[in-house]
Amino acid sequence: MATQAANNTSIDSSSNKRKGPASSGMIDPKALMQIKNLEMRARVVVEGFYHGLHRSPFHGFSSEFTEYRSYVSGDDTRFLDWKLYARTDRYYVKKFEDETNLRCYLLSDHSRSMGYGSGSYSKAEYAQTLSATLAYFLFKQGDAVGLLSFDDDFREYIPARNRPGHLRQLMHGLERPVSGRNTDVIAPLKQSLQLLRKRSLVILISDLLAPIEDLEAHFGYLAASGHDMVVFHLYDPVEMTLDLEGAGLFVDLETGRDFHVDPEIARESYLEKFNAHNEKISDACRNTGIGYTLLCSDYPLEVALSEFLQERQSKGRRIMRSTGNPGRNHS
Amino acid sequence: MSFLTPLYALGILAIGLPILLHLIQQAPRKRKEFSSLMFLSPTPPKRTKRKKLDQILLLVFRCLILCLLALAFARPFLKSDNPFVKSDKIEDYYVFLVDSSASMMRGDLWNDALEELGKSLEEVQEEDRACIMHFDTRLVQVLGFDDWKEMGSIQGQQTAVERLRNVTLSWNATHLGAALINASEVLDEVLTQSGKPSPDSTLKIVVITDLQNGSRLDELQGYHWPENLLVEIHPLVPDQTTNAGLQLVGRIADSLDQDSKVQNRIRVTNSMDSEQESFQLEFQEISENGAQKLSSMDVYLLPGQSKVIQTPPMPAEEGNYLKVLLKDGGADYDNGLIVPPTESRKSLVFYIGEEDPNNPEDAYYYLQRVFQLTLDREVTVESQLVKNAPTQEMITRAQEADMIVVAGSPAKPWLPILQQYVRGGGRILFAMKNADMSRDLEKLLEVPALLAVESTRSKYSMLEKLDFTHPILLPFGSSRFSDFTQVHFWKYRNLQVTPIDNANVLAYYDDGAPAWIEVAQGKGQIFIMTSTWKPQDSRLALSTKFVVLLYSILDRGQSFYSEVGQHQVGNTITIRDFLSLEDYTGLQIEKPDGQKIPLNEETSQFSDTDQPGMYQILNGGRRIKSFAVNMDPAESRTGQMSIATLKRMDVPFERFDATRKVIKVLDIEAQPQLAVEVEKQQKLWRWLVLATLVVLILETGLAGWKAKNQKSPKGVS
Repeated sequence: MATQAANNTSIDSSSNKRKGPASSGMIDPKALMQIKNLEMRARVVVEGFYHGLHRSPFHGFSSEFTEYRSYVSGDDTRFLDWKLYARTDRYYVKKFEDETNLRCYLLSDHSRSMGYGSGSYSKAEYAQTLSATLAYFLFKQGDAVGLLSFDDDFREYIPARNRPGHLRQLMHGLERPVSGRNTDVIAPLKQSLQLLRKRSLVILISDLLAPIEDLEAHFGYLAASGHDMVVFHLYDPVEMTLDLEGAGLFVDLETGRDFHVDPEIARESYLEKFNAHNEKISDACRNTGIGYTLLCSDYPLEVALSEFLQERQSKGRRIMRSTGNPGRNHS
Repeated sequence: MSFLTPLYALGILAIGLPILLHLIQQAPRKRKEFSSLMFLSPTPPKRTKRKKLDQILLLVFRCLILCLLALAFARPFLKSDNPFVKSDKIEDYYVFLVDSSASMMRGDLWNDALEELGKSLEEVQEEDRACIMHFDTRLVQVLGFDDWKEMGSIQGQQTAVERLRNVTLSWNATHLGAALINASEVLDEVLTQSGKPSPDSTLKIVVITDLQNGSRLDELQGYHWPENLLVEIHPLVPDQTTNAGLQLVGRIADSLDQDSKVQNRIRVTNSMDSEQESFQLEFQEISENGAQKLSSMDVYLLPGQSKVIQTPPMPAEEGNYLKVLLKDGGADYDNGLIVPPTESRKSLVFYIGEEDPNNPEDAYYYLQRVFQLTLDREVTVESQLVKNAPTQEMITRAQEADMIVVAGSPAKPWLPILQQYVRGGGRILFAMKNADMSRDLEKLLEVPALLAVESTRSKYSMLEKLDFTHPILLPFGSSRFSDFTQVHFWKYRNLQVTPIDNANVLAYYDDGAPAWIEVAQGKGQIFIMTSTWKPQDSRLALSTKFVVLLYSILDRGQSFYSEVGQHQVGNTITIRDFLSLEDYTGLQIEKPDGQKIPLNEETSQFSDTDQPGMYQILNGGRRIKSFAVNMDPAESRTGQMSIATLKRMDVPFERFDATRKVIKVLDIEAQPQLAVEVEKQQKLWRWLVLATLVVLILETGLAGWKAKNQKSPKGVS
């Protein structure tokens, strides 16, 4: 389920180059971040991705009819075409292509650790732009998009809608500055998901800097909540490599704790722990059916978007394969 | 240069710290924010050692600051610039006084005193001279200045301590004041004898004493101390401070009849620093057969308190007496008190005058009222008219009299009788009621011409220049009683005393005329008053001094030493005062320890009262009289006296100052107190602190300037 990027959790600096804007002709995030207007940024990225390739996880009654197939024992009798049975005296089951608008919630982590950025912008700004891009993309497709932001506690809730002016409201919500201190990702997440009564696509964008034991324990709960979840695990290039010069007093942005660190000495053990952490998150997501994308904040946003769409497409296919009946809900 | 507190100079070692800090380049502690430290572990900061010192000038400043501060705390002083210091060897004079009074019998005090003396004597330099004495009521020389010089300091020390070890402690009181003054005079005398002393010489009196509260200091009042004399007190502290004492304070009786029972009152005093509050008193009757316990009682006394207790009635049998014992009263030396048998002293005052005994304007009226009957004293006053020629009976009575008062010109036949009376040891009070009485005085004193004129002053006169050291005026010696300004004299005679040999003027009027004169004549004395006490002449008879004065003249001060019939250790006792005999030859006094001393026949005086107890007067081996001698109650007040008390008496403890050069180079090292004084005078530490501040300002300025000019200052700044 995890994407190619996610599988390659121990990314080295060469992966950046491989996916760099120069090689792919994509927009450099640095250049993109120069645009002050968040909506404008999103619009630029979404250019060329107008047609959505994703599928809704709902396969309800309002879906467009595609074909008939013979009834086999065990099929839901609700889908039997009684008129056709009257005419032909055979049982046929209707098969639908889902046309229902996707209900999508963007869960944005606003904790202090997201405020870190080794370059000209922080992870939070990147996450904002990514959220805005996804929101814009989905909104333009006619999907209902909502927003849930949190730091050490649940902060803001904009219900998923698709009506004029809603996009602007979303953008305002996304532009909220990073304010929290601690990131207990799970607790506010659980709290937020309780708000979402209807099943939705939930996109979590966070650096997931929390003890892996807590994350593992709670991912199961999230998966069981019935929502379709996608996690964008965001990191800064420096966090990936600890490519810092000179020793100094390192201050934890979230807890304020500080101690002396010499990156030269600490790098090896850091990378080991960091990669192990990422791998465990990736495994946890894989095991619990959560879509996982490891994303570096210097990746072009198109990569994120395309990987998101690819992931959605593949998931759609998997659903169809697993049910064997495109007209029925697997859940 | 020397240091008062040299250990502080060790602070200089702290300069190692800035040097070390300058050698170590500490990694710059830049703060770097990072998203999370959960994957990081602390790494110790790297410190790199440099072989070369950085910022030399700053380092020098910092080291200098530490050095200056350390030196300032060490309190330096210069010996060479010291105004006290004299490099030449100077002869210093020391008098060592060791207390040998009764209170030194407590615990191991005497041995402590000898040990302390040994230590103090070690401080005496080879070229100095010392004199060692011990004192109680007297001052006894153990080793003189000359002996010390002959023996040299080392042998002198040994001899002095050895001789003192053989001294038996006396039962006497501590007359510290008198001892100090005598020692001062001894020093003065020695300096006078040895020619002109060096102005740089130190004269020092070192007193080794238990410094008990009962030490007598009266003599120090108003004493003018020699300029360059210093007194050093080495107080000794006993192991056991608990002590209580006894004192006989008086007698009481229901009436003055012979048959009435007389009881004694004794004062029990607990010492200030006593640790005990409960004592037991035991009363014993002492007879020839030995002691018999009469009764006992418990006394509860807080430290510093005293209580007057009534004793059981005196033993009825003649010759027996009462002894009071204090059980658990701390040191033993003062736990016994002898209460002598009640014996009324009888005296006869023979008055020769012509005044009416019932007229309050007359002198005789007051005289007969002075001598009232008391438990201890019965004074009879007999009056004879001056005009009457003496009969044989009168002559006999006059000769028996203890004092003859002449208050008017006596008939001529009286004069040889009076002369004979005085020469035989009698006392005459000669009150001049007019200037003409000088004629009688001429004849009495056998002086060619004695001039006396009536005073012509319109205002009253007061007495001045009273000689309180004279036995007669001694009772008024204390400052509480020495105020005579209320005694006004309106009429008096200005008597020319120069022709009289042996005239001792005890008091003058404020115009310089002699008021009271004592003239020794043979064995006796004539006390001349140039004014009488009757209200026409003066207010003397109406003043509180009068009764005391007349008793003092009658007994010539003796009565005040033998209050309530007891005597104190060290007193000289005149047997005649309480035992009238025609002849005192062959009499012996048996001391409490059994020793028999023959009595001085002429004076009938006994001065060997060196121990408390009952003294027996023997005539041919037969006891005819006894008298009790007790220890001075002041000796029981063993709480330690404050040095401040002596300072109030102007005893020169710290009299040396910048103008006097009394300290030698060697002494500064040996005497921390003097070093402190020298250091106080110079106060070099102030300059060092000032220098520290200056260097500190320079250092701050330099460091600030460097920090400004260096973007990333290395090392410590």
